[in-house]
Amino acid sequence: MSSYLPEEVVVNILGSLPPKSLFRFRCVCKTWRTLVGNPDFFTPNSINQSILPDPNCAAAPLLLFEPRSRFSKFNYKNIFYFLSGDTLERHSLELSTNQAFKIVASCNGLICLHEHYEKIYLWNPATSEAIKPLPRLPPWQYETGARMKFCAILITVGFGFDRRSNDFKVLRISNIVRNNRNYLCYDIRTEIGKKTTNRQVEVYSLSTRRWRLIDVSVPFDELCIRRPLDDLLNFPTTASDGFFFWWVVPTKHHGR
Amino acid sequence: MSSTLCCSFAKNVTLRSSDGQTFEVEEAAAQVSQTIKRMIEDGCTGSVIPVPNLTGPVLALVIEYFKKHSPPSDGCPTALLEMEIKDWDAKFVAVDNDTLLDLTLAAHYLEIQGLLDLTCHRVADILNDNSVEKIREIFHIKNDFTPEEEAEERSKIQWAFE
Repeated sequence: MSSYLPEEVVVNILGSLPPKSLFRFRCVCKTWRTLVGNPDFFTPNSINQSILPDPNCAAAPLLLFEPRSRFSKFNYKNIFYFLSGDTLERHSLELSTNQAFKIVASCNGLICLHEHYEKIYLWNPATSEAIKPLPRLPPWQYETGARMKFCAILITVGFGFDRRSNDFKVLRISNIVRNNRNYLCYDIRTEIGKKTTNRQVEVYSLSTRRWRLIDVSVPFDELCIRRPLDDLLNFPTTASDGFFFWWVVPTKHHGR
Repeated sequence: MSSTLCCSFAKNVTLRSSDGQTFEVEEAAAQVSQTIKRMIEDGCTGSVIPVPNLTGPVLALVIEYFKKHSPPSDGCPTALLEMEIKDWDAKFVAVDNDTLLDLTLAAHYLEIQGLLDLTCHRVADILNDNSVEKIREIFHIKNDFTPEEEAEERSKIQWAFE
């Protein structure tokens, strides 16, 4: 009898399981443990082996359904729902903060969360209830510049899997808007008070666990800068085949 | 015209299982399997095509699948037909666990993507409903963890057992 299923077939089978069952079956035998991958996805070497759901697969078990924040006396509990097959799985997530956050993107089973202007988290809902933020966010270069005052830093975060380097990458684009001395504050909608914008772009690699400053010329001038703040924080982003995509609103026509 | 018609009826291939049973099946139907399709293209049609990884009873089942899933001779499949095939598929894999695993392996060896998806989903459903111990039994998997290793492994992912 078929005491032996080829590895490819086992991967195919396990790949269509919801995450909870998937990780339960790490205990079946050593081979399966290797196939499922390490539940601690922060271990760089586990990325290779992990069969976290493939976003290109129509039957990918993870579908982010709805994030919610709920206030429970002292801190927020963030409730996520996942559609897994026909069942809705509920995950609650405790962040070490009361801040609101946005979901940057989900990719291969990992979800990238960005806390309002601050920390960036990678979360594997299949494994960890509590998560740690990514280490050592790089400082803004212009922040250290002497006498520099700015009144808005607009941050856009992207998250995706880079097939070429077999690694998860987080991209942070910071638009640092310097103040015009004639105005107390910069109005994001009218751009009144704006003087100049500096842009700083960094990439975080999950395998090296380091941020790297990169020199790119973002081909559009003002990244989503004219949008009302609420929209700005929820700007859709996606990454596919090693490229990041953003929905961008051009801001050329601001003559008024 | 008549010769074309003649050919479409006449083209059969013979498949031979590991235990020597032979089955005759329409060439078009057998080409649901990418492996067999390649063999036909390489000119194996004249003789018997050996299918050494499958026993007679399993090959017989696979041929049932071929027949149901062969491309329709008269144009596109209708929605109704697709529904019917879906129902048929569900019944087709509602078999005992050992047969299901045999079909999964057959789909893998013969590169029948539709059957592989079908069987893998069915196996995943069975996995989902069963304990780790039961899974080992169903899949004839030897537990190669020491009791200590297994206890440690379980403690790491306690949440998955709740």
